[in-house]
This record gives sequence, C-alpha cells and structure tokens, in this order.
Amino acid sequence: MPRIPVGPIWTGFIRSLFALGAVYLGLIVIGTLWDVIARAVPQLHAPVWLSTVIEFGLPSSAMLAAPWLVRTRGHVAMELINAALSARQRKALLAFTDLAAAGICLFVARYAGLAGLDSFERGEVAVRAVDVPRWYLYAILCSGLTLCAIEFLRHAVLAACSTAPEETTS
Amino acid sequence: MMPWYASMGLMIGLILSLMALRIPVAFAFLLANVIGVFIFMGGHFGLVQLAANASESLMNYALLPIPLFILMGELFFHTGIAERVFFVVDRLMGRVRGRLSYVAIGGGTLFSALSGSSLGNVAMMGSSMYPEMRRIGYSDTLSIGPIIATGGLAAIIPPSGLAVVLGSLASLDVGRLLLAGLVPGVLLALGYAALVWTLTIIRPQTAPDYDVPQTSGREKLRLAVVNLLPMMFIIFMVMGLIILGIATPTEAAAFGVVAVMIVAAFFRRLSLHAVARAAESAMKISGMIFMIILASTTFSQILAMSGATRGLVGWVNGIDASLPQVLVAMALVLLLFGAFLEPVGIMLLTIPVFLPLAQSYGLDPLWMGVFILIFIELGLATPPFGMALFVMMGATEGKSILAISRAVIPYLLCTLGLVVVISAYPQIVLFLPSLAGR
Repeated sequence: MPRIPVGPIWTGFIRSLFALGAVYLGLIVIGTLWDVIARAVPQLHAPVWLSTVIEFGLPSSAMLAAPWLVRTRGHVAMELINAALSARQRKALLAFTDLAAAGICLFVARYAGLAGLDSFERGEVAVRAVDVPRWYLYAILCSGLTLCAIEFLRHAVLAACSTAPEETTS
Repeated sequence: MMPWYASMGLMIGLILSLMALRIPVAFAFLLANVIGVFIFMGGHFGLVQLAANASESLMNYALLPIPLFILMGELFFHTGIAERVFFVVDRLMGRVRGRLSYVAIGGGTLFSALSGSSLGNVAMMGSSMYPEMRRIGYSDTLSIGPIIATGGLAAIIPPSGLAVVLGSLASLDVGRLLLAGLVPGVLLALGYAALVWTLTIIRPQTAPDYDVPQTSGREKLRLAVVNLLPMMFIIFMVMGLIILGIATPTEAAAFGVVAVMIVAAFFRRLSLHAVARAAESAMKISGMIFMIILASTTFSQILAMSGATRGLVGWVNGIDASLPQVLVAMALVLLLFGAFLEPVGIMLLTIPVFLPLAQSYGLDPLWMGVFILIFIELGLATPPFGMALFVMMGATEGKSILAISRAVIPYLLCTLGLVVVISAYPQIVLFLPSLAGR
C-alpha cells in the first residue's frame, strides 16, 4: 500500500489557509471601495451582505493565517533570556514553551467549541446587515486555535527528535 | 479578595514572566488570561466569557485600517516606489553639510506619512542609505541615528497602524487620533533636522564635505513634479479624505492601497509578483497583531473585575500626586516596557490602567493616546531590546548593539524634549483633531 505523504499535504493545507487569509485582505480592500463608491454613485448598488463579509474578514483572516505563523515562528516572542542559556537549555525551553502554547490553545479551543455548540442549540445570531449564526465565530476560533496547537506540538516533537541544538526562528 | 496591588502585580508579573520564557506574546496573554479568569472571574463562567470575548474581539470595523495601512507600506516597499522617494529627496537637497542625514530625515518622514511602518522604514533606509553614508565617512550619530529615529516616526505620523490599534483598544475616535499625531510627528522631524544641523556645526568632521552631482533648478522642479506630486496624491487619498470628512479611516485606508497601486502603475512598477509579495507580508504582520489582540481582550476586564484598575486610580488620587509626577511615572513605565516589549503588548498592558488614570486628572484621551504613541516610538529604539536597533544591526553588518544604541541616544533625548513641549502646550496635539468633522 503506497504511503500517503501526510507532511507535505499538511504543510500545503496550512500554507493554503494562509494564502486564503491574504486573499481575504485583498477582498476587504475591494469590498470597502465598492461600498464607498456605491454611496456616491447610486447606480452601483452595494449588496446588503457586503459589509457583513468585510466585518467577518478580520477574525477569519487572522485565524486562517495563525497556524502558518506558528509554523514559521511568525508570532512575535521576546528573546530575553536566550543569551544566558546554553544550546541544550534553549532547546529544552523552546520545547517547553511550544508545549505550553499548544496546551493553552487546546484549552481555549475546547471552551470556544463548547460555547459554539451552546450557541448553535440556542440559535443565536450575530446581528449585522445580514444576520450570521453566532456559532460561526466560535467555530473559526476553535478551528484556528486547534490548528495552532497542532503546529506547536509539531515543533515540540520535531525538536525532541532532532539532534540539532535548536530550531531556527524568524 | 486580593488587595488591588496584589491583583495587578500578579497579572502583569504573570504576563511578563511568560513572555520572558519566550512564549509568543499572543499565547502568553492567552495563558495569563485563563489563569486570571480562574482567579477573578469565577472559573467556568469566566472561561466561557473569555472564549466569547476572543471570538468577538476582531469583529470591529475600527481595526480594519491596520491590515490596509500595512498593505500600503508593503506595496511601497515591494514596488520600489520607496527608493524613488529617497532618490528625489537626495537630488533636491543640494550641497549642504550632512546632506545624507537630512535626506534620511526628509525621506524617512515622507515614507512614514506614506506607509505607516516603522520597522519597514528602518530596514529600507538602513539597507539603501547606510552603506553609502558609511563609505563617505559619516559618523554613527549622523548615519545610524537619523535612520532609526525617523523610522519611529511612522508610529506617530498618520497613517499609523499602531495609532489604529491604540484607538480601537482605548475606544478613541481613530480618525481624530490619526490627526492628533500629525503636528507632533512633523515637529519631531524638524527637531531631528535641527539636531543634525547642530551636530554638523559643533563637529563638522562627523559629516564630511564631498562633491555631489549638480542638479539645476529646472531639473529639481521636474523631479519634484514628476515624483513627489504623485506621493501627495497618496497622502491626500488617506489623510485628505479623513480631514474633509469624506471617508472613515477604514475607507481612506482602502483608497490609500489603491492610490499606491495607481502610483506604482504610473511609474511602471506594478506587477502581480509585487502585489502578491506585499499581500503575503501584510498578512504576516497583521495576522500576528490580530492574534495578540484576540488573545488579550479579556485582560482589561480581569484588571477591572479584580479591582486593580480602580485601586490604582484611587491610590494615585489618594496620595495627591501632581499631574507632572503622574506623567513622569507613566513615562518611566512606558520606557521600561518599551525596552523589553513590542508595541501592541505595551498598549495592552498600559491602556487599561493609564487611560482611567489620565481621565481622573482631566487629561484629554487623544492627548494621552499621542503620549503613549511617542513612547512606543521611543521603545522601538530603546536599548537593549528595541526592535529597530536589531533591524539596523542587520543592515549595518558588524556594528554592535552598543554602538547603534549610542548613536541613537541624542535623537531619543530630542523625542523626550517633544514630550515636555506637548505636555506644556497640549493644543499642539489637540488643535488639528478639533478641526476635523466640524
């Protein structure tokens, strides 16, 4: 049975999510311009859903980009005590912080999931120009944090398996 | 219930300790907030509230200019327009002693007004201008200093992404806050130029005299019309539309992005590759900022519910500290945080405490916002951990952090001088916003 290349597929998946987030930013620019121009030119009606799509752009693009930023160490961190540590200690500290970050992501994702389920059962909506189910917001938070947790765990596991003293950071 | 100082010490100490352990800032906030929620907001209920806050945190129209301003700056960088700005300012400057320092200040200020990206500004000027300044023999104070100092102006001069973050976190009118930074930013640029002039008078050898290509008045006029007028078009599309009340900051930011693309097309520098690279960089930076905002929304609630904010305000009012004393204390805290933390983290830690305190002293929140932004600018260049110092270190290839820090100190003092001036004359900050929307 042929082996499925899980690693590259996973990498491609989270890279695609990041690219989708960047495309969403572009759509926000276009949507905002459309909205303004439509106010000035009555013939160019802006659809009712446009402002809602723009508003949902920030949480969506942030969560779409977050896992790739974890992969590339794009989330800013303080390099305060690095200089005082040996290579081995740095590696251990990095593994610890990756595990701690993964743990907190999963913990909050669980609560976001529970709150989302509760919101779904109650039929709550986020009141906007077009009402959007409230659970959608919890769902993107829960999924984004879960993917971040997987990436933090991947860093920790790779660090444990590697013989190199420390992973490079960006 | 814990005393207010214990609650405040616990929360701020927890976050700083987690950050010091190298947990990414966003996740350090998330972890500290979960612990804070357990202690002060009633366990399960508080955690549900934390998830609700995080999911709602970015559903805020006022935050939309952040990625758009960042995208504007990245488009400048990736289409090569930024280099053109510096080339033209260089040619217009003529033959004055220390001209490249003035070019760094003039070009850097213009680029700040066009991009809103401090570190991008330092990186670009560092790589494009510093090698030439070093080759000619400029001292560090006249080469590294103005590049780092002017880079920080992007935090104050509109359009500033950090001002938008501050405005939305502090529930201030973002448009007015952007306008409030304009006059202090320009004054600061003039102050830097005056500093360069003074240094070249006192120690002429620090800025060697050398031949520069002669540019006729006619040629200068042509360069200004062809190259700088389109830049004015971009500034108008962002700040002009806000001042005239035609567009909100979000809408103006979207127009700014399109204006940069139009100007890039005008100079035949617009390509799909440049746009894609700019979008990728903008997503990286704004994704990082948004994650911090999302993770930290409950922090101010925890401080409020634990009684820390109220306790601190009550304590300061109780000891009858004068306004200058309070401002000096705030300045010291901001300087301390600025040396170790990145800008959004500083805002998240200080705004919930400083703003109520400032209001209890009758300070205008817009003035307070600019005060914080100036110290954030200082923080970017404050040793030992100012991010701009490290960006410059990369550009100088071989300079120590100590040498770079020493070069920037006169400019930091100049910035502190501005703080004294705006404290004595708050109208410098408040006049322009008072005109907007009349």
